[in-house]
Amino acid sequence: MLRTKMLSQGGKFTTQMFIGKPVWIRHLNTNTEVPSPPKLSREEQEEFERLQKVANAEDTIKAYNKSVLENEGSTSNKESLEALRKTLEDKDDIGKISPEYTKTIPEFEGDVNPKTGEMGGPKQDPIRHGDWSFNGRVTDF
Amino acid sequence: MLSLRTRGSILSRSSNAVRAFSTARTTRLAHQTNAADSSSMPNSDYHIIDHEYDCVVVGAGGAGLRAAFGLAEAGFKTACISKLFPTRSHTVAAQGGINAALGNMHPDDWKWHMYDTVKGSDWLGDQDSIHYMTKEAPKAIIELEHFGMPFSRNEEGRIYQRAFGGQSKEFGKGGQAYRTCAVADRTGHAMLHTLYGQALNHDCNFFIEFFVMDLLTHNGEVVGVIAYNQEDGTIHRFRSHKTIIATGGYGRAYFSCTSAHTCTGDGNAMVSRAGFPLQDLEFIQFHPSGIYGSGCLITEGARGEGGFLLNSEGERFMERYAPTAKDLASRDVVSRAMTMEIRAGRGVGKDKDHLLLQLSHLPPSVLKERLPGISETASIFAGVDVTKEPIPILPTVHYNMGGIPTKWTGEALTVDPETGEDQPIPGLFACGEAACVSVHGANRLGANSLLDLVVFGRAVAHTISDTLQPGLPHKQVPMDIGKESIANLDKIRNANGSRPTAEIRLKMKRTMQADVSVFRTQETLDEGVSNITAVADSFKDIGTTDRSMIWNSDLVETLELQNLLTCAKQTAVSAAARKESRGAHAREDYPTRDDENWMKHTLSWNQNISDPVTLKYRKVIYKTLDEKECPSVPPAIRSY
Repeated sequence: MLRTKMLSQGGKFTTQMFIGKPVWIRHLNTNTEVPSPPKLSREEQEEFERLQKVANAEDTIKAYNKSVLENEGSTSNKESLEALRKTLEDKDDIGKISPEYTKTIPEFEGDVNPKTGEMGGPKQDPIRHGDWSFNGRVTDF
Repeated sequence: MLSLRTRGSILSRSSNAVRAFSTARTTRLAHQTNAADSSSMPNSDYHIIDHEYDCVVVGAGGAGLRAAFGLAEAGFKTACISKLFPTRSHTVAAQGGINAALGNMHPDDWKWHMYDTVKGSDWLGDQDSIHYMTKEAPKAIIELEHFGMPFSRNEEGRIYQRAFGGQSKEFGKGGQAYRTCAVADRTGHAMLHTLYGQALNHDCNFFIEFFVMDLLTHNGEVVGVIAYNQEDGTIHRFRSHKTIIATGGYGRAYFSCTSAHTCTGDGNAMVSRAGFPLQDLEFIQFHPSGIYGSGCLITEGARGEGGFLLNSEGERFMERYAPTAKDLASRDVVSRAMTMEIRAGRGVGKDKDHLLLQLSHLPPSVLKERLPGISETASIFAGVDVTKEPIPILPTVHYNMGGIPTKWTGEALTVDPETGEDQPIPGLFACGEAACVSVHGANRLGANSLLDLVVFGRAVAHTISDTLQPGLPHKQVPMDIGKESIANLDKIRNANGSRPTAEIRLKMKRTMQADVSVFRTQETLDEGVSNITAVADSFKDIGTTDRSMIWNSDLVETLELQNLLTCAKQTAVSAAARKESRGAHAREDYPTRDDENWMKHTLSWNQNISDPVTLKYRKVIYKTLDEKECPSVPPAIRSY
């Protein structure tokens, strides 16, 4: 019984070891001859390298993706987006401007332009003023 | 060696390892015997690493990437060196469209496109290269489409094309043509990312955040480049059979420009320093209403819907310059009037260097419905509320028609000192905004610039694959090749003069903006030449503060300033010499085009920024590649 348990645990553990192990191979720069940014003091350099390793680890990426996936579709997501937008609007450091003027107005909804039949095109006609513009910003003429 | 090299390329292809550090190291190991004989160098403090490639592409924007992966695809060992991460290149901001006579909306012919381009160029464009570009355009677009560029579609599923300025049917007689393809509002962005994806798919070796300082030349032949790796302060010499310059424009020589802070004409300046000419630098495209400071352009529509321009006296000055059209006058007229107002001392702001665009008198409904988003743009880039305040604006540089003279094949040109005939520079190519293939001539047509870069990036790859064999050994060159470049770097890094880089740079920008912009008379241009010469001379008093070699932005900015100064100086001298009005070069004192005397390209030489600029001229190529297939367009008055 105990043996089976150990085996199964061991088996599980091994699978985890091989599947879950990051396939991330970093070629550490061991050639001291090559110039590089000056090293920090020993503790700080170790801390820096540790943090870099953590940030690059697959687990971090996985955890992030998971958190995104979990958020998607939930009702709280919409609310948090609203809250985010509100904070962004409140944080305007160049003076508050009435939102009705700052909003980009799409000329149509959906993917197909009802007037021209263009698919996947711009939501505002870029050449209505003669030059090529979006939101009043010209990029070509 | 093979295994080392392969490892290097794999690493350089994974996005994380695009730092290319590993590539550099492996190559150094491979060439350790001839690498880093630093004792023969002027300053042995510099760690020099040598590389050998078949081809080296300098610049990783649209043109550079297209050339680089075209070469890699053809089997050449290719290095692509860029001071920026490729997807940060300025191509990303080209959000207009791209012209090609695909004929998806109506029957179309590339010869009509060719006619429009020649006319747009005001007959300064070389007709052989325009022939090539417009004929290859549909193929180049379909190629991009196959690379995965997500063009907007029409109902039949073909690429949607819209009507854009300067495009006509039947040689100007058939009305507006629908010829401009686009990817929603992000054509340049989509193109750059598509090309970068392709470059990663092929075996390109990227050297990112390497600042190329100079070309390496030996016996009049370009044999490679020398670069400074900002990350670790090493100097890299790249040997190559063919060197391709695709470094973009030099809009940053002006106070107000739309181009990125990195558009400093590095490639143009390298070519100048190597003793080769630049072409047609006096032709620069301006837009009248760039937001002061940021250079972001405000649409013509703002004036079209009733906005007007004001000077410091609160006067609607356009009434004086264009009594009928007033603020609706053409872009050139408005830009010139604005420059004249500023020169007359009626500019606004503490330096009296810009003007105001007022929209606040327009009813809120017009602002909201006819100019949506303009309020947002003004608030973001100028910090003003258009319902209450005017927008500060000034004429802004948008595109440099001039650059490194090239043939339609992408080969860089100079002229034979004896006969004055065109002569290819061995080993040197150019494409994109840095080049002057002269398809844009005196004035670029909208949506032709993205076409230029993709067609001629591709042409460079085709020409090289037709004429060069991969893996050939490199010729012997002196061991200390590139020492002048290192000496220059050393001088600038340790410069302890009295003038900081920013001061000289601002002086240059203001001089160019005031004297060599849109209002051009002999007097103002001569003034411009002497002012910019004085600024260039003051460069000897430059002082830098950062002495390190690791990410020394002080050093890089100063090298960039040096590059900008030579471009600026040549622009001023070329403009002062051209006594006619043609395309973007509009002279008050010579208001008409003079085909008899001036249907020729300006070539300018300036090896050292303290040297005077030498000018020569080169004839415009009037014949197309095949007169039977596509007869050349005879000169006529350019009117729309």
